[in-house]
Amino acid sequence: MTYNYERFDEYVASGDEQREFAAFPSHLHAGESAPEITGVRLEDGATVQLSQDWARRPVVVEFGSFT
Amino acid sequence: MYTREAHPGEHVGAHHSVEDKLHNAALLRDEVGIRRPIVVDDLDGTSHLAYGGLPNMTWVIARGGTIVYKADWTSAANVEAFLARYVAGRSRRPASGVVAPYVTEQIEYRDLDRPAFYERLQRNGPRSYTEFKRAEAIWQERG
Repeated sequence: MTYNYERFDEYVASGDEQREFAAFPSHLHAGESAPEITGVRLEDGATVQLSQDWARRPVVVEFGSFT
Repeated sequence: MYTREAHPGEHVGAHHSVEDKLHNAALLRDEVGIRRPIVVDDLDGTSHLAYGGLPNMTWVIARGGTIVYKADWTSAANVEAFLARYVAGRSRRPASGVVAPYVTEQIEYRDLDRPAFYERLQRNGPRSYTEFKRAEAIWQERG
């Protein structure tokens, strides 16, 4: 699987998209521990770990891209 | 969390470097007008894949790190309704004096506004639209 696929139609044709959607219902559940989320905060370029946020307060995480 | 580009095109393409990814994340903030804090995943999508890798998921994580909401698609209204229910449920003091958590799983419906979506694909670039139309044909063939 190429994570940063170049072409959406090829990604769908490869079956990767179908496999990812099919696997989702059995992947992580309410009641389980949240995996760490690490990334660069866009506003200041700092590397952040969201576990430091959810240690103190609830966190809503939406995943997405430009489209 | 900003992930890989779901529909790369001539104008907004797939990421080849962290700089590409930061640049496109800034477009999301500035052009789409996202005012929530944006955290950009690494180039390999480590955090995105840890949560299943779908393009528009929402998760709610309670204080302490327990997952309390999982959705394979984002509906702001659904998240908002859940949060109100969750907060009220936790703080409720029933006659018995105690509350206990339970888990639910539902199917919800979202509006498929294809014309608006196609416009956003065109913004990414014409091939983004063409490739999505080809993908629709593949989905149709699969039934």
